[in-house]
Amino acid sequence: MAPHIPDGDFVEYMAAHALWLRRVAYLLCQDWDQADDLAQTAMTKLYAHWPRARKVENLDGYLRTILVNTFLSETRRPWWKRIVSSEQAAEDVAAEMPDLDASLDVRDALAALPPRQHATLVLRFYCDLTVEQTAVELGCSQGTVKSNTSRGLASLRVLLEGGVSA
Amino acid sequence: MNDFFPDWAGDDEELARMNHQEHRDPADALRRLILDTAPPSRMDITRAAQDGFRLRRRRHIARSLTGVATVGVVAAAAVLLPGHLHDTALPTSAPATSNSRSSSGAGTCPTLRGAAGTPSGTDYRVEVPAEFGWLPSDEVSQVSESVTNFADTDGLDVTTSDPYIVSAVSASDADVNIYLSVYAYAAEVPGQHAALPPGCPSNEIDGTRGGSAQSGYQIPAPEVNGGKAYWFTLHQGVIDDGGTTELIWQTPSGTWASVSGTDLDSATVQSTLEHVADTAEVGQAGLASPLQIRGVPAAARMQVGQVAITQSADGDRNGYSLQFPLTFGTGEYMGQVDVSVYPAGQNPDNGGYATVCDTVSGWQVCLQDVNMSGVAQSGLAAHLPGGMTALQHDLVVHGKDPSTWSAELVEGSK
Repeated sequence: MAPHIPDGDFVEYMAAHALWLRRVAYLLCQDWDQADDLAQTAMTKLYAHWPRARKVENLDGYLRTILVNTFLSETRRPWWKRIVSSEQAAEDVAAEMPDLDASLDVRDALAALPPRQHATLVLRFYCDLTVEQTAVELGCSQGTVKSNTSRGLASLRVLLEGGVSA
Repeated sequence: MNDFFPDWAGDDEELARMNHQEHRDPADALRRLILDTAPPSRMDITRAAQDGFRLRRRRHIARSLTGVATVGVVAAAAVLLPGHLHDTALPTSAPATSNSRSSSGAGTCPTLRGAAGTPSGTDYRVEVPAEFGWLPSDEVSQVSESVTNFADTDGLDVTTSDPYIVSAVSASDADVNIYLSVYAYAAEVPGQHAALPPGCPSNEIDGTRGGSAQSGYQIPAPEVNGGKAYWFTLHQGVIDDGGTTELIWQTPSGTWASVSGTDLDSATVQSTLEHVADTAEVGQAGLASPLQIRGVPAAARMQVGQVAITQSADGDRNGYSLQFPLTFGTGEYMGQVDVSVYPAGQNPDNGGYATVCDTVSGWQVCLQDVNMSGVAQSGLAAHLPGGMTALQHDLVVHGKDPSTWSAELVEGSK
């Protein structure tokens, strides 16, 4: 029996959206290796549902929801199952590009947030979703989105002022 | 950095105002974070399609389990332990750094499960290193996290530093999970900084312990079944239910184990996990199956892919699912048959593969000729005279009474 031949419209869609998916994944997990794994898993799950998913009106939102749920599921697993960014790798990058200090501080501060606050900030500020859209994608109320946003930003401010503990 | 993210109420008007202050804009900070550090991507669209297609084909087992789940269910994933079973029991003394159930001689990394590759001998037994005892009444177990859905040939071989994990999933809320984990050796236990046993991959251990952000905190806990215990959490002084907290203990025999939970009731999460730990049964135990095979076909390799049991709160097992692959040949001549058994009445999702099913003693027994990725033709015909029909005749199916089941997957010899 011949190997499965991927559906052409799936390949076309992912070729156009892979970079975007990877970037959102990175903002969720702060580690490019894990971002690749998250994005790969999201693509796989999308294809598993492709016969139905291809008819969805907001396919980007559908895929983004898969990605966020995959990320949240990973954070719910016992923590050893999660891939952790390499401290040394971060130091190497910083050494090559000293002006990255600020970005690395933001990254570490994001990593310290509870997963749902973290995902809320990424959806709201990077994906530019409204409170209503974010609530739909996270499967929670608009009030929860607002409170997670407010608390997340407040925590970031505190973390960045005080430094992220190692 | 103090200019980032001033107090902010979270409404859109305030966001619009902030977007005019670029250096204080969270969106700008996130965009710069992406642009600064991106390495080349490892994403593979073709592989995602192949794996996704397999997921479609395999999902029918999970669906069948969902259909029979009632109040409370226990699930276990098991691995086949080929050969050398009787000299690999958990140690009875208390080793300082290892739970090894297999030889831990020089250069041999301790492992909780059978090694990868071709089994030797004819001793095939389904075992699990731990089982749940008590679970909250609403917990249902479905599929263990330790068995990948993407495995057709080698994905079943869990690396030695992966702990064995049994998961229980709520019948009413899929986000509610409880995990029971058993570790092969102390160096992979969160909070333990034991030396790495000889032969164990150091990179896996690095990943297990995590980086600085995951260094975690220990919080004293009551003893678990006579073993010293502690909570391990990423948040200092906080035992939460976000999946970042584990109750870890060492049994009197030296085995390290832990329980953790997600989305549990925050008011009771601590007592719930303590009771789950107290009642868990840690130690190698056979897992009986209603399906056996009369000998492994010549030239075939056999592994257990996935075992899932549904069990009601009163202990009555009302669902059982077992799937194991038989792999023939190698490389481009490799072929595979997936054998599965689940409650009768479920319609198999054949995924486009040649499938033979029969209903026996209340069970649906199916065989699928699974083509391998990159293989032009199935190697089944070359390695299995008589094909799947002949293989079907070699299966032994017991009734619904678990007392007639056996943990030995192979009955007698051909």
